[in-house]
Amino acid sequence: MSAGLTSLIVLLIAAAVGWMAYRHAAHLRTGGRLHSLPTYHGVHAALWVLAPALLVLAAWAPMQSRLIDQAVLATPEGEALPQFEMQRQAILDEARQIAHREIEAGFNPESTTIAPRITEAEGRYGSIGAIGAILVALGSAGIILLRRRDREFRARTAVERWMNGLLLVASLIAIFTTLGIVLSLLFESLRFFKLVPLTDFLFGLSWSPQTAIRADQAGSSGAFGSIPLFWGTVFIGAIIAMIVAIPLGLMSAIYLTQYAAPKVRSVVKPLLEILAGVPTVVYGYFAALTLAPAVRDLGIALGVSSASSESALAAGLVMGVMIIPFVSSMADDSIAAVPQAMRDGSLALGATRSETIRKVLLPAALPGVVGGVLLAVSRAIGETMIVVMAAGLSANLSANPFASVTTVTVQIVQLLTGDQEFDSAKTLAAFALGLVLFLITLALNLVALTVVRRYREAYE
Amino acid sequence: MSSIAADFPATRWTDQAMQSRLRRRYRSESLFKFLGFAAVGISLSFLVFLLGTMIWKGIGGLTLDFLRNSDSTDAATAGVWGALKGSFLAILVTMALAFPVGVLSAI
Repeated sequence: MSAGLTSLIVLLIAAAVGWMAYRHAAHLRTGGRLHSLPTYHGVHAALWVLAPALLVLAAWAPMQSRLIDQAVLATPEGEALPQFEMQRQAILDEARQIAHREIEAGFNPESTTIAPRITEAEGRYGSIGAIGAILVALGSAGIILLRRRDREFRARTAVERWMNGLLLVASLIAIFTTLGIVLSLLFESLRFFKLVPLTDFLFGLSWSPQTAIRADQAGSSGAFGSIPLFWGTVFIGAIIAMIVAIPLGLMSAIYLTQYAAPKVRSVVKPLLEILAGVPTVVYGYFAALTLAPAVRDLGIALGVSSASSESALAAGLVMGVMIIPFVSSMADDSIAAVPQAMRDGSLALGATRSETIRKVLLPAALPGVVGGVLLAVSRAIGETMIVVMAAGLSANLSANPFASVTTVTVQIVQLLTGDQEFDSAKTLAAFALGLVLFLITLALNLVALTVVRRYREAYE
Repeated sequence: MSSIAADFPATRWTDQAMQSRLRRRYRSESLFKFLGFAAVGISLSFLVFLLGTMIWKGIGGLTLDFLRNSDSTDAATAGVWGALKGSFLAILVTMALAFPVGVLSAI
């Protein structure tokens, strides 16, 4: 019996019990005022039937596949299979596909003989699970129906508790997913730090992630110093991009909040936000194909001999453009939050508008602006696609904007794309890089939020 | 307070010094306003340039066949339908997961 059919039957039982509880409550109502509406009585009963049975089904599913494998291996055909674990697993997978009629015949001849056994075992354990779930549903239905409810029964409160539980589970899913990601980063990084000392990774100046296949190979000693990567990330994301984004974003925000007519503002502000909505891939090839050659030509014209077509400048410029809306909308909000009385006071003393902005509004709005910039930086250094396409791969420790530098995200992409073994320092290095990057952006976000929250309401 | 008064001795409204100071302040005012306008203009021109390049180079290749065909080794018959379908399915799965969980946990 399939899981779908079982769920349907359980659902029907639950609906029937719910209907009966509803009728019962409606009947009780004739005797006086109920605590909860009959509907709540019905929903409450149905939930109590549904939840345990579905739990049984959900718990049985993973157990079932293990039991099926054991049963199949215990049959004479199963014992004849090769003992080598991977080969046996491959045959079993093929046999399962044949049993489900997904393929006609397997690559291994054994799988065809095994297939009927799998069908058998699946039928047996499948019906055990189904019957178990239905029995549980019937059992809870019996308990619910035996406990005749009186008029005082608080069905609505109980249903509310169920709903609260559901909401709690939904929020726990998000939390546990985050926790799972962090933990997997952490454990893989720990494995990496067993191979490469932490101090080498954090303070090493040379990055060349290779592991040797033979001991006497050229370049067999990989170097895992992450300083050049983090320098490249900071150089592109926090220096070049911010040189573009802070003046443009801040001045745009000032102009739009202080000078522009409301009509202009209502048109221009959404247009600026489009900049944040352009897919980063588009920015990436824009940087790589349109901007990078121009930047290289400019570098050569300026007499920089090492001008590369994968320059830090091109990637940083485009990233700065992408960040403009973040800076400008945060600055916009915090300038708008400065009390009107302060602006009026400054203007009344005879200050011009620009003097008011520079001497009164900006100091008052500074925490918000700084917070916005920090958030923008943390976004910029986590940005991947632009730098993968436009920044280089060579880990240079160089402050020359025309030279090619690489970033943490680019290196993670490089380390993890393609066929990789998952026990070498080269692959595990990606997790360590990811962990450090995650910690940096987390710290930046926390600092930004604290700055904004602590100083924001100083004037209200 | 008194030091400020000492630093800035009272000047008449019609004084030469006062007039030139006022001119300077108004000049910086209009410069500041122009800078703000230029910032908006530069940002928007980036957007126009980006979209313009994209449309200019892309519009020729955007035909109905390009949308309908899947990828192919022959560039002339290649299309994005397969890739579009993949993106669309990914969006569906994301919505199916994120919508209930997000809404329920927000409540």
